[in-house]
Amino acid sequence: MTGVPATWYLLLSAALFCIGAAGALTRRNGITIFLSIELMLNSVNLSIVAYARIASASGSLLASLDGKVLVLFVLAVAAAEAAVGLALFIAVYRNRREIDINRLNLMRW
Amino acid sequence: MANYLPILVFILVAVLFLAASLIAARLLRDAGMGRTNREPYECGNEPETLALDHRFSIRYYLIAVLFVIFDVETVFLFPWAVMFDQLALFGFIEMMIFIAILVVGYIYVWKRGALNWA
Amino acid sequence: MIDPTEFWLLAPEIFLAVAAMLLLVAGSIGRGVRNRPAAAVALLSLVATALLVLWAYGKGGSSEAFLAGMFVLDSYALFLKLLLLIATGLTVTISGRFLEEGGYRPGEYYSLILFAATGMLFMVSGYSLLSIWISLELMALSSYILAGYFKRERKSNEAALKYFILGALSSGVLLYGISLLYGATGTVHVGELAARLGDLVSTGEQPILIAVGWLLLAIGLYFKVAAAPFHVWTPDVYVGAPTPVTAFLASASKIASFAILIRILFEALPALKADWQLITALVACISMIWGNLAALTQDNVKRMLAYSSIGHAGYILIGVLCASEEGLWAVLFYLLAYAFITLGAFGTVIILEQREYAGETYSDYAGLARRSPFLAASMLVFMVALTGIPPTGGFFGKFYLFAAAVEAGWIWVALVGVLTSAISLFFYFGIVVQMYLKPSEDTTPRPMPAVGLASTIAICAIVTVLLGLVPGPLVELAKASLIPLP
Repeated sequence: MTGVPATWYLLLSAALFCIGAAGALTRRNGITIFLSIELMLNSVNLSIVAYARIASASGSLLASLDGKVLVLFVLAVAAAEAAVGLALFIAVYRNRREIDINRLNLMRW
Repeated sequence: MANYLPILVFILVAVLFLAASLIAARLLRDAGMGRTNREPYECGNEPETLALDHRFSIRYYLIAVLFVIFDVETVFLFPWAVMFDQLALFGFIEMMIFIAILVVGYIYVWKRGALNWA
Repeated sequence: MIDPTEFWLLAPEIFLAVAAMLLLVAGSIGRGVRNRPAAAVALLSLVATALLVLWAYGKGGSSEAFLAGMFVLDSYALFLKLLLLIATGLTVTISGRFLEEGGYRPGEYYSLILFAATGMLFMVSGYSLLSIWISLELMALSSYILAGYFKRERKSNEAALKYFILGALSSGVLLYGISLLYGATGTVHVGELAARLGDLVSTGEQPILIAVGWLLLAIGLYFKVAAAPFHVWTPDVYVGAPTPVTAFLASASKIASFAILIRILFEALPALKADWQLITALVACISMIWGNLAALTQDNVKRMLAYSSIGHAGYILIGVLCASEEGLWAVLFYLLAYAFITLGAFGTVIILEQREYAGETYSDYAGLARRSPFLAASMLVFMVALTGIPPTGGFFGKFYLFAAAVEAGWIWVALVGVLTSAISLFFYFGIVVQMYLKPSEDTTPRPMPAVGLASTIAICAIVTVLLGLVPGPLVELAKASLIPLP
């Protein structure tokens, strides 16, 4: 196999996943949290694609297909999730005029 | 390294296209940088406020959200189109069902008036 | 190539999805549909789906996966599908009052409930991590919207947003776990995954990938069943969401999540049995202790029930970690009993609730026995059952779970279960004391609640007591609905 070794993709994906998780847990702005979650999902996609490439390089076509199909579905579900999330943010914004998570404290967090 | 040749060609084409369109624009456009040039662009309408204190209508977001959903669903059309010959009638029917489900969503959005601008 | 006739086995799910779409479109045209017709359509669709489930099982029920190994229709799936349909049906019957008083469109509400139910039915049949994950997302996305369905109520907004953020986070974690397991084994099919994991574990290959992968996957699932320490979303979502939705999340959603947790642990990860037993034991104990202690300090009944639901997730996990036949059928028994108890308890809360979330505190229940003997008696049954005192289904549920744990050698976990049950007596009977012993300022008799709501509560109370008097038939049914043990 020429080019970038597959393990590099896996390391990148792990790093992106950690950045996303850290962002989702520490940020206060709703939209930033949301972006971090999208980053997590896309890092998962990257790792699945990398694994699919490893599988196809080792000659197991069926195994690589599993991963490629999974990636397409993750993309579609992530879009649906984005739509639901943004709609919820809009609903909150209409009622409160802000989306700072720390001030969403009608109930104890 | 032969694997990277198509990518190189792709990059070259992209750069050339960008350069060509920028040069063409420079040759064609009016030289003056008047007041209107520095105003925020709003599809040709006269802007009523400055960019920062202007609040966009919530409908922009709604349309954007709807676009994202319907746009991403087309991801399933690509592999289907590539394999169309082998999937044959069964695949065709399945894809029609898939599109019918999307149409149901579209009808819902339409009837609820999410597409009405006024 | 896929055999198109295999789609018949998914007839119930397809039918339910079509019904949900029709309801969605009907609800969007003009002023939408009224509550009663919409609820009737939803209920009829659920009944028809239940019949289709039985028909499909009779036609080709087996433990063989179909549709390219995506789904399976075994007796375990049959039991859970029927249970989920019952829980969804009861949710529909307790939803009417909220929709009418809040002035929200019923068509979309019921269609979202049906979509969530479709996702749940797919979940319990899923036999590939791919199909399980997508159906889980269908359920979750519908639930986020349902939690925020009262879009003018700030609490509902807030609950939905918190649920969404933490739900999406857990979904990402779960998915990363799936991707690592896929990387280690090259498959997402549950059966093949188990076989290859067995090989890899016995030869000691890829230990880190497998360990991190299954742990992330399991954490995502513990989150969905609301087990501590992955429960942070539960109290706020349960309090802020419209109460019928809370009831739905606490019953149907929990059942479906437990169903896939068990399916994945038992059938996909048998090679890691010792590992997940230990982690599940820890999670179960933390859930039981934390859920019950936190419930002790609440003064809002919905919030108390939320913490109690965390505790009950812990009790159910006891049965899971035994990985024995006794444990598994005890879990199925408990899931059914718990569904009726929870729906009944939240149904009672709905009747007493007023606008702006009043009527939810303990003191609002003062003197209820005089004002409405029916409501007080049913709430008494549910509280007794949640504590686990005979003669209710809750007693036998807990008894079977603890007995299974002792038999499988997890005595310390069973001990924690018994002790925390004793603690739970205080907060469950706090309500009973209010209802029967405390006088209330207002002594006028309450008007009888709407027929649908009242009959639902009555059904739940009767089933709860019946399960405590004659648990035998359900035990036999649960024993016939097992999956292969790890």
